[in-house]
Amino acid sequence: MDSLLSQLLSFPPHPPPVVPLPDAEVDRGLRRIVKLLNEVPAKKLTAGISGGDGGDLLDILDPSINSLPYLYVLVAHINSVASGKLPLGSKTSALLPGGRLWGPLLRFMEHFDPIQVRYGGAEFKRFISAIETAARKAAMPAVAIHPIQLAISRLDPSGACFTSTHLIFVQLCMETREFHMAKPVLDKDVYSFPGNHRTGASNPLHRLICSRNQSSSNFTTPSSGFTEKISSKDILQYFLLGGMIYTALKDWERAVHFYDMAIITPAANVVSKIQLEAYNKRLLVGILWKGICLEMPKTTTAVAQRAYRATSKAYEAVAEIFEDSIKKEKGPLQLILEIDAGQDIWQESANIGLVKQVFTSFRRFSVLKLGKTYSSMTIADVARQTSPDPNDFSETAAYLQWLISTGQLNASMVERGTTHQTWVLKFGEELESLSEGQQLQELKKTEARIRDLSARVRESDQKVGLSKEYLEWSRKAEAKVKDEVPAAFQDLMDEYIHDEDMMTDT
Amino acid sequence: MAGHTEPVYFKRARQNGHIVVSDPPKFDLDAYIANYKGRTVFDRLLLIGSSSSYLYSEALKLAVKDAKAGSDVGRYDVATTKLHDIVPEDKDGIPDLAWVDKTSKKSKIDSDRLEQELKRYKNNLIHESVRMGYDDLGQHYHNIGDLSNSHKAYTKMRPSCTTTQHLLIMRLRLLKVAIDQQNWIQVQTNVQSIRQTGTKQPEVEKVTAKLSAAMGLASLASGNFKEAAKEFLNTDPRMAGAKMDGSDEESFNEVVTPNDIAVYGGLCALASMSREQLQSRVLDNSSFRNYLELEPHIRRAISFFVSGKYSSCLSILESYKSDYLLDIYLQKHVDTIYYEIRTKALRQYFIPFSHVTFSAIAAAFDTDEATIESELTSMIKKDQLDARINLVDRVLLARKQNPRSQVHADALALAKDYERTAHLRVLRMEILNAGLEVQKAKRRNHDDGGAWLGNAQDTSLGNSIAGDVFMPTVGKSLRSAYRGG
Repeated sequence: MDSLLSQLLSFPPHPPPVVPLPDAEVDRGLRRIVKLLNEVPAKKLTAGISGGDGGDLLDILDPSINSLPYLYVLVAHINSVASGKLPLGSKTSALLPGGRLWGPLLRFMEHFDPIQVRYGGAEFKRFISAIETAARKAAMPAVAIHPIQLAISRLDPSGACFTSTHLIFVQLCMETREFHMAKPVLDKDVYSFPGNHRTGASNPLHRLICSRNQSSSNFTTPSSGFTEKISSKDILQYFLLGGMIYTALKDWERAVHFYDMAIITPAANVVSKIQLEAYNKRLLVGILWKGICLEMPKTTTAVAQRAYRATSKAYEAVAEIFEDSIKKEKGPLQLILEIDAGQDIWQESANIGLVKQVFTSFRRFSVLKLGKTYSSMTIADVARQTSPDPNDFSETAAYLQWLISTGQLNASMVERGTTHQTWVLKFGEELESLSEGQQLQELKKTEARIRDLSARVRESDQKVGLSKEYLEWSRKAEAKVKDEVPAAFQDLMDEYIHDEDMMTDT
Repeated sequence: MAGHTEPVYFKRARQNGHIVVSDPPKFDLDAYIANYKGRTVFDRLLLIGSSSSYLYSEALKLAVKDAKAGSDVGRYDVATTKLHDIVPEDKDGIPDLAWVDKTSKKSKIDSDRLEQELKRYKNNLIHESVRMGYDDLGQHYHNIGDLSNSHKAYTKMRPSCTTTQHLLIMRLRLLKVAIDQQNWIQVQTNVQSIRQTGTKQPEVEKVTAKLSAAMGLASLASGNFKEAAKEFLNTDPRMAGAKMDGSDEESFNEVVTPNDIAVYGGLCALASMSREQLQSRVLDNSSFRNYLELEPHIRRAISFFVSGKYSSCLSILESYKSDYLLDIYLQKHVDTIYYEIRTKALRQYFIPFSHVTFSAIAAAFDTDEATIESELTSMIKKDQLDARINLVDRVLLARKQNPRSQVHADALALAKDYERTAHLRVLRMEILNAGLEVQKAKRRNHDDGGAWLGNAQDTSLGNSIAGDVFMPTVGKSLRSAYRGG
């Protein structure tokens, strides 16, 4: 037993050497530990240490240094609980707050070394699904959210690679309506998917998965165990749920982006119901965001466009009428009729809440529209042009106050006279919303994001360059593979070449 | 004059959205119409007759007379029917059927004769005779009002034309037919092909004024006032002094008179040019001055506009409005042109100010505040005026310009758009690369990836996604959010 402990503690060296070990050596060491852990019977891991004060291995191991052994021990404990002869209730409760394993679980999630864990993908995944199962069985799904969020964001801080855990996580957040908890994960844009694209040539530059600047898509594969095999349904669900979470958080811009991702997901002559759902929601959210009927994303295929158009007539009608009525200041009558006519549709697709929001936002956009024409006007004038009851001035004043205080309207109110009727609403200047300093910051942030994006583009480009299809294609075309760029990316870069130039200038 | 009680016809026309002018125009109908010849006389009379509730009877009687003097049975019919519609008791409104019968028979005989002659010429293979034959036939059809056959006949002249002179004649004939047909695309094509033969040639040079006028009319008809103004302003002055009795080959009064050129050119320029352009390209334009002198009030209106006396300019235009509404080519565009001039005047007036009270604008434009307010509001809404209104103090405010932050905001928006699009494209590529595109399902059940086949029976989308757990909850959460907001 002691020899096992010393073996487990043998790597990585502690305290860490002054000169970090070369990647190759780290790789060898970690592989040795994993091999060992896989061979040791689970009983030995849960047994604790003989002699001395005989503590549990979990108390001795430090999750930040010996992450792999800690993980294996935890999983062994979970398994033993599950198969043990303990009373039914306590089987799962060990992984819940107050349970025996809850403390070590949190300790692990907060401190594990993401590089080491890359070698224990299968156990890691098993661990996460145990947490999820336990929480669900105890009918407390919310408790699983925090640990899983830590797991996802600590393992891959860039958040660029999608895993089956992502889906489990957003499902949990959705069920428990813990929308804010989902944000740290959803805020990171997904760029790659563990799929069957390992069929092509491997990339000689990134062979070692422990390399620090290794892209997450290279160690997250079904074979590394971090994720189940993913289907198109999984990613579509993730996009749709993400969009719905942002919708609930009223972050319209992100919501639309998530729906966009579902909408542009390539499809072979069919369209998924999930995509249709996303398209419908996107139309409604587009109204809430900008008050207009959004165009389809540029990358939508013609087949998909036709399918969306054919099935979303009711939604498109609402969006178009909304936009037109605001633009021509026609009042909400036509919109009301259209919404009424579609009651069954909204009810059936569970979009009734959104549709109601769309309706209430009509008044907001009507007021915003006034700001384009007028700089200040009395409450009586506002009420006459936008209120449901043009003579209810105090209600109008209260509504405007609410708009201003929630930051939805850039304006101020001046009390003038004794009744609300003569109060004055002053619209702010459109451009004053950002100061010079804020603008600079925004620009810098954007620049950084775009640089990051270019790196992703390069990575994708490389991946495509190594794929079987591309190699075959280039062999057939007898092209010089060296300086070829895949055509699709050439297009992309060409299209934005000016933007790129501009960004580097600023 | 018969203008005291308006006939029912005009009330109905007004209800149907047609233009009806009840004010008497400034011109004298007889003198006005004497300036024209050819088919335009009838067209103009008919237009006046069907839109002026003041002059209708006089105009239509003249139209009937004019039609009867010619050989176009169709027009005679139109004129008498119109007159009968408006004044059922008028004797002129009852068609002279004997004349109709006689004239149509004669036309038929003439057509047959000309066709026969043409056939003979063709058999003889003499180009010149064939050309003349077609020319006669075209003119005949033009006279009896069969414009499409006339056009056909003139087009067939083409292979028999041996000199540029012949081609020019053919093109001019086609041009006139096209103008009568109001087929402005044909007008433009013909003018362009004449211009291509070279404007330096003496024969072509003679007709340049006509070409400009025709081109101007075509642009005017399509509502392109800027282009129309350019053509009219460039009209060669040779037409300005032409006699109207038909003896002068410079005159184009089967279409327009020099006075028309002045009015059309002046109005289009007012509607489309800035004050500086009006000064340099209209008032200081020595060749256009020849025309402008014929219509001194247009000249005055332009001078007032240039010197910033907008209300004087607008009141001149207003006093001539009924004249222009009775003009065959202007009628449809008068309102637009006037609106353009008025809004431009408002814009020009506002340039030096950062804010102006409504009362000041109203005084400058000689109207009341309410009219000005509604005008300004609609201009801002149409993006024709970059300003905002302070309704409380009744002031028009210039928008503060901050180009620097505008550029920054634009750059940010552009970058954001790039980011989104690029991300979506990379994503799309990666999905394909990972083999994750949506596939057609082999078996239709809920685990098939939710593929939709176009006629899906079960519309419970919630089930196909992730069980029916979360869909209702989301609905509820949004509902509560809605109540909260």
